[in-house]
Formats: sequence, C-alpha cells, structure tokens
Amino acid sequence: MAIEDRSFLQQHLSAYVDGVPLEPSVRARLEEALATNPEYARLYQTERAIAALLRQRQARLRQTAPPELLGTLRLAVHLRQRKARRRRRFLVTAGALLVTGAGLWLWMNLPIRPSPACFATALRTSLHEFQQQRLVVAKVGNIADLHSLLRRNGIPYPLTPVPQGLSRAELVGVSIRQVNGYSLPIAIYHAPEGWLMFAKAPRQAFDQQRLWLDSSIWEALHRHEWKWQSCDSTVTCAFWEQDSFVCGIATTLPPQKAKLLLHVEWQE
Amino acid sequence: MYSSKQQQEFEREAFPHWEALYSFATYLCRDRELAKDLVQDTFTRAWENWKSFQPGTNCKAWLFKILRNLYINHYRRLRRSPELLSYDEHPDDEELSLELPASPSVETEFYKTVLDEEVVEALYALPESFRTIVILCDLEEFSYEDVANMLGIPIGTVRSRLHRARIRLAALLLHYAQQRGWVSPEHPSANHGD
Repeated sequence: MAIEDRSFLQQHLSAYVDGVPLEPSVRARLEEALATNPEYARLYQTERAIAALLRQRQARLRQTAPPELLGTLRLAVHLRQRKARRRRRFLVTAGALLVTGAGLWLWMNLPIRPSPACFATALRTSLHEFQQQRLVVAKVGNIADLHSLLRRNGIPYPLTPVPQGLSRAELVGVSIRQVNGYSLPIAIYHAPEGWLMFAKAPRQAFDQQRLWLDSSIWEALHRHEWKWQSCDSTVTCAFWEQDSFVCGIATTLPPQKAKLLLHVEWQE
Repeated sequence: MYSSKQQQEFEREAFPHWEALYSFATYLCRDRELAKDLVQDTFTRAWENWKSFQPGTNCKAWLFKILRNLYINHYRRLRRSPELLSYDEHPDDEELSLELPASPSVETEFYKTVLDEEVVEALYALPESFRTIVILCDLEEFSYEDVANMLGIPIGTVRSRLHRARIRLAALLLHYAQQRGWVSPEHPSANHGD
C-alpha cells in the first residue's frame, strides 16, 4: 500500500464505515479503491466488523458501576456545597473584620483635622488661668531667651515687634497654649498698671482654618484698624494685623488705660 | 455558591451520566478504585464549575472532558499498571494488517463469536490514545466533533486514530484467539470453538 493511499484510507475509512457524509470526490475515490484493491477491502471489512461488534455490545462492554457509587457522588457534591458555604461565610467574616480593622486603623492613625481654635478665646482663657495661677509659664529674662525657647518648641516666628508701650513693660515669661492641636505662643508682660498678654499667629493659620476670629474682628482688621473688645469688667482685648500676622492683647487693664498704654503710643 | 435551582439543574443534567463516566474512568485508569475517585473528583469539579456549563450544550461531553483532564493531570501517574505501549511505539498499520485473516467474510463471522471478556481485555491492551478514542466513539457514541473538542485534536486526527485503533483492536482479538488455539492465522475459522 502506497504511503499516500494509506494516509488517505486512514483519514476517511472510519468516517465511511460510520456513515459520516463525505465529499463526493472523496467518497468516489474511496469506493473505487475499495472495489479495486483487496487489501483496502479487507481493512474496510475488518473495521466495519469491529465497529459493529463494539456498538452491538455497548451495554455489555461498559464497565458496571458499583451502585453505592451514586450515593458517594451525591455526598461528595453535598459536602462540596457545604464547604463552599463555609468558605463564603469565612470570607464574608474575614472581609468584615478586615474592613473594620482598616477603618479602626485609619481612625487611629490618620491625622484628623481639629476644628479651628478661637484665637481670642485662647488669649482670654490664658489670662484667666494666669490670674488663677493655673497657666504654665516659662520664665524668660529677655526677648532673645524668649525666641530661643519658642524655636526649641517648634514655633518658627518671633513674638516681635510688640507695641511700643508694651516694650516698656517687663517681660515675665512665655506660655505655649495648645488649642486643638495648634501651638499658640503667648508672652506675658507686667506693667505697673496690670498684666498684659501678647499673642501672635500667622495669617496663614487662619486661612488654613486652624485658628479663627469673629467676623467683627476681621472687618476691623481688613480696614487695618485695631479691634477693641471688653469682654467683661476685668479683661480687655485688642486685635490687629501686622506683616501677615494677626496679633492680640489681653489685659487686666480697663480699655481706656490699655489704649493709653498701647494704642496711643503705638500710633505714635 | 449556587441556588437550589442550580442544584436541581446539576442533578438533572449531570447525574444521569455517572455510570458512563465510571466506565470511561475504569478504561482509562484500569483500576476500579482509582476510577471511583476519578469520577468523584469529576463530579465535585463539575459542581464547582457548573456556572461555566452552558445549558443546552452536551453535558455528557462536558463531563467527559473534565474527567479526562483530571485523569491526565492527576491520575495517570497513580495507575498501578503502566501502559504497555506508548503512542510512538504503535506498530505500523501495515504490520498489523498482515495479522488479519485473508478472508473478509470469515473474519466478519469470527468477530461475532468473540467473548465480551476478550473484547474488554483487548480494549485494555490498546494504547491509551487508541483506547480513549474507541471508547468515546464506539461505546459512548460521541460525534467526531465532540471527541475532537474533548481531546483537543483535529477531526482528521480523530478519524485516522479511530481507524488505526479499530484495526489494532481487530488484530489483538485475532491474536488472543490464536494464542488460545481457537483459530490459526491462515484459517481463522478452522479451529474456532474447539
């Protein structure tokens, strides 16, 4: 048998035996070969006999499955279902724990922006606490010591210039007030007439909403004026803006005396 | 996770084929215990992937494909009895054809008298690739297209391999008969039944 013919026979004889439709040209060539070549005819008869043998005895030739296997299969699928359910429950629980944990971590670690602190209140409260001797004050002898202490505490700007009248008062010490995460430096002065506190914060801190001031004070600052407040009979406050810094004074002096000490001379 | 409706579908579509799967698995593994494990794995794998089965397509072919893939990937190495011949060692068909009886009519009659056990034994003796294709095409009656898809081979290869497998099976059956003294190569029917 030529190699080409054998390959042709291998390719198409099964389909011919099984009654699969063949292209007419292929079928004609095959039938001609079977009619003229006894070896082809014998292969055809053999393959047809084997195919018939197998198909007639299909049921008997199949391996008989043990009946209990069906129950085993059902159980295996059932167990797989339960396992999938358990796995889903585990994943849901693990996911919930993960989300909760991540939320907790974020809550504990992410910087949470505090609400802005009131500059005026911080100043007044400091004065009250100082009067009640509850304010922590670091004593400093001069401006140079004051600025050195501020730098060590992470405050990059000086507490100068001060109003001229204040410069004649005695520098007693400095306090750094922590208000909602913001460090506000407050210098404490003593004048013969009473105590004065001077605070200063960059305008940027207000723009970033770390500090805030009442709108009536801002209106005065925008007009480049001093804003005087007499909160109660014992405390007088004044606010002004200078070189992109908001400055404030809280004093035990009554307004007139405070103005006399500060504003009038300041204006000079 | 599947709904109860999907469970019912799986029960209705997949479970009717469990016996055919077991038969195929036994022919592949040549070991009944291994075949049980293989069928069980096939069903659990099929259940896990039930969403990928397209309703209306041939579920039996889908299951057979899963089984064969599992067999190739996990079970082939576990068989206790190794294959006698690898695919590359198949004797040429021309050699086989020499063992076939000279008379087609006598040969046809001879096959009718072969015992089932002898056919099963001959099927087991076929090389794995031949055995697979004969089981799928002749015992399970899958179409050539289904078999080609299942085995990942062209239809032409299915046809030629089936032809060679059947001829090889015929030669094996005759060989057994000769070994047992039932037929002689020259006159196959002469001693049959003695």
